Amino acid sequence: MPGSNLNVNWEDVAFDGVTLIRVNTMSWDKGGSLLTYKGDGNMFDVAAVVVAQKPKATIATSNPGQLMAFTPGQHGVLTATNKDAEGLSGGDIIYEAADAVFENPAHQAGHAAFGTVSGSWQLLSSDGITPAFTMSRA
Amino acid sequence: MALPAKIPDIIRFPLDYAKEAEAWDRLNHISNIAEPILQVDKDKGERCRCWTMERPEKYAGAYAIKDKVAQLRYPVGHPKYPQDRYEWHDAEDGIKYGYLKE
Repeated sequence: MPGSNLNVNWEDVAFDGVTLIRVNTMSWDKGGSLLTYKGDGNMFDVAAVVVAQKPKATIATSNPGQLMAFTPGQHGVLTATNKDAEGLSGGDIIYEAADAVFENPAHQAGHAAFGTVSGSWQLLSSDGITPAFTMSRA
Repeated sequence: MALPAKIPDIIRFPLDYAKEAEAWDRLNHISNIAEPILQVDKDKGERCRCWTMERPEKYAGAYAIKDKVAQLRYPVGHPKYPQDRYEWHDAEDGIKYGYLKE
């Protein structure tokens, strides 16, 4: 069953054994970028190839204490589930990165507002070619 | 699809397999085929992990694996790096079954 093809809210978000709660936004980015080519009398690019990818994940939560406790450079498994909007079986998307390196947390808070924290990870491939994260359905 | 005599460690589909489906549906489609072959037991919390890749061209395809560790080659630092970790055997419809060499 393919699910509703709509996803709402993150659950089971965890890094290095710590379950992250009060998640507001999260992104998983394959990190592709195109190297383009034009030469001679070309006005426009005539080739575009991917020669490198830098996959990353970012998060923003309303639980600053959790993310600020991580150390830049800390390695761990990063997982997260974007739930099917209608709760249908087969619609959840589960992301999993076996070697995520925590890059940086930044805590911001204003007067009369909840504090938030954003964080980012660079996702590594152990063999240099296998993508750094996988996707599953549930 | 007939189940293989030996459970593969990984399944590789052609990159254009089920291309009429949208991206995530394609992974769903692949999971549906791969789960019984890989003998994924959802009741035990197991699941089929998927990814697609176009480059390097030698490895282009859509992959399904039960193992948490997704590595097509031995990892950097391993004495056998950068050799392939799997031996590939042809199945139906351009699908290949991979078996760990170790």
